[in-house]
Amino acid sequence: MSYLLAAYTVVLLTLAGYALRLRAQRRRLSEELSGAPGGEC
Amino acid sequence: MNGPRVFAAVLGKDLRLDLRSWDRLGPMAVFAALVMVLLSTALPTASAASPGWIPALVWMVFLLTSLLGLGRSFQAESEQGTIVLLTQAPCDRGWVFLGKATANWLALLGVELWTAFLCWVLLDVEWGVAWPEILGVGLLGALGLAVVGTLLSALACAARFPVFLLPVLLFPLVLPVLVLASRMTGEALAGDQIASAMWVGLALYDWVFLLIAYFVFDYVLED
Amino acid sequence: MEERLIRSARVLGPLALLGVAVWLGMVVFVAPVERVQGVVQKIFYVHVPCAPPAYLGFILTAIGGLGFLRTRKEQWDRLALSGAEVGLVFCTLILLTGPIWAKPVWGHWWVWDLRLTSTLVLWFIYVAYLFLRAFVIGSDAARTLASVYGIVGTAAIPFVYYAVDLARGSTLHPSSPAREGLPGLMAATWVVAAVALLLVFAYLLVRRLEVARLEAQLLAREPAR
Repeated sequence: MSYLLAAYTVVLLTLAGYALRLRAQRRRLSEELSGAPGGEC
Repeated sequence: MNGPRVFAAVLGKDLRLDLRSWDRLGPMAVFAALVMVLLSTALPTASAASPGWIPALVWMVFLLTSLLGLGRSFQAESEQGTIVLLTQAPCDRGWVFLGKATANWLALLGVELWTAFLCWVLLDVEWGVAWPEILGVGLLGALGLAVVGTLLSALACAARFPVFLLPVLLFPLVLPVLVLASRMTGEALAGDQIASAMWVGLALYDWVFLLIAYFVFDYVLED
Repeated sequence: MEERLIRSARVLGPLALLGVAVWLGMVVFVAPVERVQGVVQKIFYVHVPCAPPAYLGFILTAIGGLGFLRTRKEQWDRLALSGAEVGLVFCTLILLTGPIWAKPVWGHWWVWDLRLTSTLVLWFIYVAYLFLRAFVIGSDAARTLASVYGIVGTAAIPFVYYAVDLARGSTLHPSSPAREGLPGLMAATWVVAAVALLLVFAYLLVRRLEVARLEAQLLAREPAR
């Protein structure tokens, strides 16, 4: 039973984690793009 | 400069280099011998289990040795800037690939003969049992390694740490050669008939990758 | 084309969540408990459905590679990269859930059977592809050479499968549903699982495409790099 839970937990956590990571990257990049063009050095 | 001429030129140049300086074949031969000695020492002697493992071991040794040689096939070019000249050849660049791959194939065949000799001496392998089949496997197996290895070494030499990258790129793709060749060699040594499906598989592998590499090489030489 | 794909995330996201909810619900409430393996057998509904996305990812990498070589449009290369990354995630999940299933059922963490071994080799091909992209000097060369490797790698997969089949002979692996014919409720759950994970794959792919696009736009903006 614990094996069953482990398997599903691993999958769901990994997929969710990856999705969150992508979201963070999206936010950061969008901010940089909409910031002053050629902004900091 | 048409295709076959380029092929002959590239092949001739590489062969002359190999045979004149032994810069490549020498280290490969020594490496193969070293690995064979290590293996022979580490293996339990004359146990019933070993004969089954020997073909696979031999092909592994051969694969590792070929890494050495393949890594060198484009490295020297970039050092001397000859790649620039090669890429300006106004013909199908695929012929350059064919020339290089053939040179590598011949080098690998040489290493194969040397490795076979070492196995005969160190491990008492009786190659004579089914030598036509074993020769066939040797030719086709080496061809597969040469074709894929030449293509991938061209990719790897454009990178940092090509010494690391080439095996990483190569090993998963040549697994079929390793498996098929060692299987077929093992069966030939045991005196069994090699299933024709395996011949077809190995030959098909060689042919498919030869075609792919030939057509794709145009893009590879662009950098 | 790429923009339309990226915008579809708004639809794919909720759809994927819905799919996951239905999938998990079915696993818990609908799928029957199997006689021989017991409850552990239900790992089947998370292990096997990860395979279509894993292989689809690499197919997209090959298609992206072909597209890039022929058109030189970076959109194709972004597709290839995204396919590889997301596919690698699913491939890794197969390799993680497989042992978790194997241990209670067969007593070993790893079994050298056909499907697991082939997937392991696929994993290495993915990783090799990503290493190549990372290590090649010069981004245009990286895209070109990676496209080549993506194509060559995909061509190798059928041969790998055949070779592993040859080497491993009989398989411990439970035979695929298609061959055995699952009883109704199990089949239904499996289909729902596969669809749900494909939706998740599509959503993650599209988001990854967006990130790649944003990165490219950022790079285009800064001339001195």
